[in-house]
Amino acid sequence: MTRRRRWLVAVLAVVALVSVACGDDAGSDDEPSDIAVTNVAIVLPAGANSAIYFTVTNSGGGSDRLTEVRTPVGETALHETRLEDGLMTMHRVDSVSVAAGETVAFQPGGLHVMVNDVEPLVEDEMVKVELVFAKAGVVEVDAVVRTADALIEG
Amino acid sequence: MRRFTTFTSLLVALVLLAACSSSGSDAAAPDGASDDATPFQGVPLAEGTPKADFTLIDTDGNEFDFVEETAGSTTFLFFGYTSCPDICAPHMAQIGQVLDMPSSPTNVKVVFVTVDPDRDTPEVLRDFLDKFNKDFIGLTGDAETIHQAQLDTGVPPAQIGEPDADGNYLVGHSGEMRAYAPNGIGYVTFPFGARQSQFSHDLQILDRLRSPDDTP
Repeated sequence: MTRRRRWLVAVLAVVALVSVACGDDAGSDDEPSDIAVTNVAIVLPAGANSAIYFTVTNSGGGSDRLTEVRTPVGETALHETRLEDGLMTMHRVDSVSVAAGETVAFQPGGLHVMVNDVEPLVEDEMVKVELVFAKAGVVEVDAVVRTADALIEG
Repeated sequence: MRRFTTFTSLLVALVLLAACSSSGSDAAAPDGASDDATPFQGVPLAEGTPKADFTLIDTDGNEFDFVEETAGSTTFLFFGYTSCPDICAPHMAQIGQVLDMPSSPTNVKVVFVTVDPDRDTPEVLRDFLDKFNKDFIGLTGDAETIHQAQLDTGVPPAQIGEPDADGNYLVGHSGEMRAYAPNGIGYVTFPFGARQSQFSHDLQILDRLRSPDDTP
């Protein structure tokens, strides 16, 4: 090995090391994800719209990304409420990454699925919800209709 | 040269690693933590915070003078909008549940001022509030009066976002609920996420503060 070659190998090693560490913290993109969706609830609507909450757990070796959530009871969008300069403001988000081994909770005051122009719902009834993931594909779940206060701790 | 190269490479790698991990979150202290000196579980307000003096329109279409109409009652004041399922609905539902508890004082008024008067007509407001408690008071009015009411209350005024292709728009607003004792003084505020047990605890203290000389 010439000196120049050795140097090149060293540089390549550094680049590889850094890109592994700095790359998408969602883990290897070659490996499959293993997605479970639990605690799915939709808020008993009080106004023109509602929100869906759930917990996504990825126990696979690869990252995944939630790109869309659908329900027959209204128009949906992925949203996140953030506190900025004292104001609680909802923002639209394109997708939500779920890294390998990670659990992401959609809960009041944070990530949620906005449901606009929601149909009338009845407490405790079940509503069909489809979550679309980049790798795992469509995950079908049932959301239970809960009153808004039931979604906040105590 | 060889050792130098290896060492340099490692050093560069470490620096770069440090750089990419330093972009983490700077977690802010959680709201709702109460000061040792206060008996309240909500967040204490500056001493002697008065009620803002404003007059708006209630859901029956009548003028509602906030100070006059709520005098002598424990009063909760919230600025929100009905197309807000993630913050406003849970917060209102929480206080609704608390007031339904048999142990809760009955001399309590809950006032919801819309920051979205274009969409929240008196009928829309009434329909929304009835889901939580039929006695909740809903107020609307012109945008300027609502803006000033927020400033005078001491909360950052709401901001209306740009409408999307469907004409839907989002509203940024203060998520806190202010609480005033029957003596008219504000003592505590409840940020979004406040628990029913915290509301309940503070409600008992507020209910006892009937005259300006009473202290918590």
